[in-house]
This record gives sequence, C-alpha cells and structure tokens, in this order.
Amino acid sequence: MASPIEQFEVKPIAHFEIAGIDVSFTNSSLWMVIVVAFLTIFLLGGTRKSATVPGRWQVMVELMYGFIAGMIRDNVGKEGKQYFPFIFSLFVFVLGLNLAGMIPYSFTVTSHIAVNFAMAAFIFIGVTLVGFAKNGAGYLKLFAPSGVPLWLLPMIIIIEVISYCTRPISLSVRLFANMLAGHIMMKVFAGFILSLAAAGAVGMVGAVVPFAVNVLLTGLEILVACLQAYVFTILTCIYLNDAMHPSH
Amino acid sequence: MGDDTHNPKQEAFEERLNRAQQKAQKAPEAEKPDNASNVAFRMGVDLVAGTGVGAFMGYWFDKWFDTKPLFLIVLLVLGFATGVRNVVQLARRVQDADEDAETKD
Repeated sequence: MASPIEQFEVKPIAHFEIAGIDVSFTNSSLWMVIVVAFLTIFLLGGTRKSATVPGRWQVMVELMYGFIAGMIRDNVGKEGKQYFPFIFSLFVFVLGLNLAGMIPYSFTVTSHIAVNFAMAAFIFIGVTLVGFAKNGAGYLKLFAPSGVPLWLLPMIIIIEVISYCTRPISLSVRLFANMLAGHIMMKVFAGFILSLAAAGAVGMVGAVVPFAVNVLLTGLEILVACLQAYVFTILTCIYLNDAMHPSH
Repeated sequence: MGDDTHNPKQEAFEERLNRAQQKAQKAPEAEKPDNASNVAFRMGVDLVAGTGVGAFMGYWFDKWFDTKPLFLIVLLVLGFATGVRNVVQLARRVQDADEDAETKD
C-alpha cells in the first residue's frame, strides 16, 4: 500500500539545469502553473463585463475583492490600500494552492516548507524594507519599547530582534504543518479503509467507520485550506501595519 | 399577495433581514480565528521558533567572529527567553479576550 507521505514527493517532469543548479519543472511547479492559470481565467473572466448589476461570476470576484479590501482597511488602515495588489495576489495564490491540494491525485504545493518559507521570507524582507522606507531609522524604535529600565534595555533589544526574526518561521510553519498534517491524516484513514476491507466480510462492514471519518475530514480540510490562507494573509497585514505604524 | 399586513412570507423576510443585519454588525469580532487548537499550535511554534532562531544566529555569529561557543550559548538562552515571552504574551491576550467576553455576557 502507498505510504501516507508518498503524496508529497516532488517529481521532476522536465529536467532543466542553469549554472549547475537543478531548476527542473516538477509536479509542484505544474500545480502552481495550473492554479495561476485558473486564477487568471477566474479573475479576468469575472471582471470582463463589469456590469452594474453583476452576474454570479462577477459577484464571486467582487466578494473576494471586498473581503481583502476590508481586511486591509481593518488591519493596516487607509494607507494600506497601495499594497492591495500584493496582498490580494498572495491570498488568492495561497487559497488556490490549498484548495487545489484537495483535488484527488493533485499535489499540495503548500505542504512543503520550502515553498512557504520562500513566500514568508519575501514578505519578511519586503515588510522590513517598507518599515525603513516609511520611518527611516525611527523603525528601530520597534525593538526598544518605551518604559524599560536602561540596564535591561540591551537584553530586551536582543529579545525583540530575535522575536522579529521568528516571524517568517511561525508564518510559514503554521501553513505548512496544517496542510501536511491534514493530508497525512486523510491518507492514513484511506489506508484503514483498504486494510479493513481486505480482512473479509466483517472488515468490510467495519470499513464504513474510517470511510465516514474521511468524509468528515474532507470537509474539515477544505475549511482548514481556507482558514490557513486567511491566517497567512491577515498576519501579513498585521506585519505590514507594524511596519507602517511602529508606535502601536 | 393581496393582504400585505398578514403576509407570512413578508414577515419571514423581515425577520431574516433583521437577523442578517445583526450578524453583519457582529461579524468583525467573530472573524478572528482564535480557537483553542490554533492558539495551542501557535504557542508551540513560537517557543520552538524563538529557540531555533537564537541558536541559528548564535552559530553564525560564532563563525563570523571566531568566538565559538560564546554567542551560541548566550543567544540560545535569549532565544528561549524570547519564545517564553511570546507564549506568555499570547496567553495574556487570549485571557484578556476571554475575560472581556465573559463580562459582556
């Protein structure tokens, strides 16, 4: 029987090499391309007519727009609007990858820490640059909270810097662990169905139980896929807010 | 549709509209995904990430300044302190939110 972690194996589809570095087109890349292509068609198709009274398709796209616009307004404020394209792309990309992972025989790109960490590191560097661009050296005040006695300050600054550096890790690990755990769990229960069904007539009746669990897990995983895309995006907003208003 | 005052459909609609409006007003608060397992998971990651980042920074500072193992030890301890601080902060925030919810009820 297939091992529960076999589904996460990255397999090259076409081999490429640039300057000795393996840049093969893998099944992971394939699913990113599929998701981006789908999102492009979905978003462009929905806004094609821009009717005053929107149809079903346009409503779906507008709801997504409104959801992210509201999230930025609540968490970053009015000045956050200029980052809308980035936040929106991030949200639909992560959401698309998470949900594409729920299609049978597909590949869950976000179950790999390498992908998530690359995104989180990009956000981390970007947010830090925004912080320095908006506040100059004043951004460093983020690391020195007011009201701390002077003799404690050096230690607090080191702790604050370490705490700041844990952001990309907790951001990426949260998404990665949730996706990985959920998909392993589904595969394990699917394995139970097979091994029970192979154990004769009683086993076949018993196999209904893991099957029922798997049906429930499928629903739960779709929820987790949406929730984790939401969490990833809202944390980006919160970090962005810290960068734009470090005094809070 | 002749009798407008006693139209059950109309009443049901008004009621549904009222409920939807109340829900829409409450929505921003209920939106935060702060359930227990999420919080517990975050605490675990925070604790490990703090220690990990401290160890990582210490290791590289030692390599650059040739001070093995001074920075590794100091930053490992401070990294753990960071993790604990983050967990305590998170716990305090969750507790405050819980107490707020209790006094409101």
